[in-house]
Amino acid sequence: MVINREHSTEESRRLQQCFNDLSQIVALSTALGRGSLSQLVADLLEMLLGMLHLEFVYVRLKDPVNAAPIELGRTAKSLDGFIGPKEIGSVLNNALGSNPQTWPANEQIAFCDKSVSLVSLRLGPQGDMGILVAASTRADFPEETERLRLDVAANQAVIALQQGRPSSEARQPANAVDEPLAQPTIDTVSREGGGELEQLRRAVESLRLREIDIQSVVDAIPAPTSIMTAEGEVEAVNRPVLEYFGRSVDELRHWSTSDIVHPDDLQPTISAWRLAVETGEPYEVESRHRGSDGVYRWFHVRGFPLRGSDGHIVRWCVLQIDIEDRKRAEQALRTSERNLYLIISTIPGLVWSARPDGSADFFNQHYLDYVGFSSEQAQDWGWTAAVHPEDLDGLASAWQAFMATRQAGEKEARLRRFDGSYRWFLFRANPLRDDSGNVIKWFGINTDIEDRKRAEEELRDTQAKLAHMARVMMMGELTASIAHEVNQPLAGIVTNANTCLRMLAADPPNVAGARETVRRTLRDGNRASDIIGRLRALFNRKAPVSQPIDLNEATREVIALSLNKLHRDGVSLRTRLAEDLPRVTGDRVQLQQVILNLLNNAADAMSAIDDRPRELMVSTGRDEDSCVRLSVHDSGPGFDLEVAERLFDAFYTTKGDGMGIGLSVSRSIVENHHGRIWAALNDGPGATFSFSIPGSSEVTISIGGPEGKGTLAANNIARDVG
Amino acid sequence: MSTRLLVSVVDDDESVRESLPDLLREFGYAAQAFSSAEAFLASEYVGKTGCLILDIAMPGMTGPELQRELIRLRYQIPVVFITAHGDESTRPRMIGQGAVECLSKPFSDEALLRALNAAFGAG
Repeated sequence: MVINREHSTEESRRLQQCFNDLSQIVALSTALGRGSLSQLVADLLEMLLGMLHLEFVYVRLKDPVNAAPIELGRTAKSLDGFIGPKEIGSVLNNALGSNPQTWPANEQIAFCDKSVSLVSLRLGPQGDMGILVAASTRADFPEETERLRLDVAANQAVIALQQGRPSSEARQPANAVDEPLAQPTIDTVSREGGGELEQLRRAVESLRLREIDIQSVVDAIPAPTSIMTAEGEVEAVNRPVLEYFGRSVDELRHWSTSDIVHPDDLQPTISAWRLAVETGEPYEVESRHRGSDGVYRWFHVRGFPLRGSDGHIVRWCVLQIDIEDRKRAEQALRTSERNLYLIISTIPGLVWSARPDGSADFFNQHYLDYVGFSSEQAQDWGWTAAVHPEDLDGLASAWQAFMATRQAGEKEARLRRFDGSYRWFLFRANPLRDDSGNVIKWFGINTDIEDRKRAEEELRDTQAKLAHMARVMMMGELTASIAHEVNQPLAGIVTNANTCLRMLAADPPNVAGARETVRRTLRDGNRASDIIGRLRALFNRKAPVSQPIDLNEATREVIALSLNKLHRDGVSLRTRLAEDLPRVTGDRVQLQQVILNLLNNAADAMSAIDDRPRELMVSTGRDEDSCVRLSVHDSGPGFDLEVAERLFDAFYTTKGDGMGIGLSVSRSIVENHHGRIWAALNDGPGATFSFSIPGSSEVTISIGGPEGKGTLAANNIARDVG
Repeated sequence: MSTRLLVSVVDDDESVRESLPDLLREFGYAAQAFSSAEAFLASEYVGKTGCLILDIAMPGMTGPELQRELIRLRYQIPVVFITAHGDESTRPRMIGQGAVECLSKPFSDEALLRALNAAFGAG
């Protein structure tokens, strides 16, 4: 399999740099001879820090003399404050455990409020001499050439250690260099200066001086490396190549005609190699190579040219990196990533993740589609542009609070949809913590709660309307009531006026009588005007609507509204709402008005009760004739039988400031629903007011006024009075 | 005449009970007023009443119910209904049930007079 080489120039430079770095690492450790061990390791660490742009690099060595380990470390200049090797060491101990032998080769931890990727390399042939840890903020650290440099550095450190301990039994690694090498004439290559040509020049110069060092460098690389001639023939290979393939150099020279490369990969590999040799461009392929055990494994093969001072290619360097495990892991990862992606894409919410500092680094497709941003636009803090300006401050404060407490939390805020409309969302964030409790990442999901918010608003609206409706009557009923109520005093006025005329026309005029009639006229006139005045305080009802209603639900809402008042009035409320209550058809707000009226009346009735508990019970149930009944039972003083007849009349009230409309309107509403309303005295103290309405089947609500049956006693007073 | 004809008024509304008897007396009748049908029935005036002016809608026994009760008790007292409610169908219905007249409040004195003449004329 051939990999495309879009960035071949960049790649060439990187590989050159890598090679150069490797040379330097090797040169450093061998050239300094008998400098102090810690100085050597410190320089190595400094070199690695710069080469790989690390956050920190750290080494812990077992001192053979005393038991305490030696710790060395370097941190990136960008970090605030002093962080020395001991501090790094304790962060690592906290995150990974105190025994470096058990530290995983790769891990992600939190370090100074950043999420860092760690590589841990055990030092020594048995891995027990110590540990080298490198940390980078890049999630994809380390990539291959970086790993290579770390491996080589680790090896060189071990070599240096072993050379520094003449009494130890450590063997020299088989690839140790014996010949003296020329001093490097190049200092640490600075990345900023020079540009590509300059770097090439330097690399070439260093190569020129080290032509004979190629073998030693190649031998130091722990990965299979081959050196080819400019024409593309195998010239030299290092030990790992020999060990892996189990073949001689001669056999390896004929790789293109043998089974060393998997038959499916052979042709592409040959083509890529030929092209590279012709064009002088670096190449890379992934191909399967057969090992000495006969099994094919995946390798990432990279070849790059080494040029002389005249620019011509003098050699080719081919690296083979074993990626079998990586391939397998990639496959598994791809599968699990695909699954995860599907899951995240399917979650019907806006899913996101953020770094420990709160800046966002991932949004699922739902999120991006909803706000209409690209991933780049939403990144970091870009997503805040979609938050409603009024909610932004609150959301920001909440977010800061979650990060400070490192606890999960949630907050409501409006988010702007791609079409500009705002919807309410519940923002929920959950931290992912490492073993020390530091937050590595935040994961979040925002759920659309617009409908719930709307429902809440509608409930508040209904509450306002109900409070309002307590003062409002149906216009039809109002008209009839007005007519009825006003006609009485009007009749009085007309009659009295007529009487007055006759009395005055008598001989002699009955002035005293006339005066009396006039007095009555005035009084009746005032009474009429009072009625009008009180009624003027009310205004238009809404047109009644007809819908199926769950009376229990309607009752619960009304109760919820009244709880405050009941509590203030010292009334305890019980409910006994029947299950499976059939629905009724009617106007929900009107029926709720009736329930509210009964509740308020009951509470008011008990307001003067001190010698016994003020208890209210609301119950619903089914009556025999499939009617739905609601009763409000109080422990008040009850009512007199004499006034029983007038309870549901308009303007009858026992309250000083009462309008006297509540029960009369309630009666009209109930009767418009083809039901009946009545009152009964309890066995104990107090009264029970009830109404019942037919369950919905073929009931239609009459929206006209009553046909005069509103005042029939049969509807008002229950036969069971007394 | 030495004895005036007695007209009894039964209405739960106070204005009517106050004002109507005086007008009736101006017409030359004797008048009694009652706040309910039950009060009338319980009084001593049932047999003496020459004409009943009855409110239709009353708590307790209604006007038409009183009318039926009186028939059951074998009284033949002409009835004039008065009502504050009422649509076009009320009057024909009341007359169909045997009332002399059915007047809507407020009514003029002439209308009342005509009704009384019809009641006594027929009697």
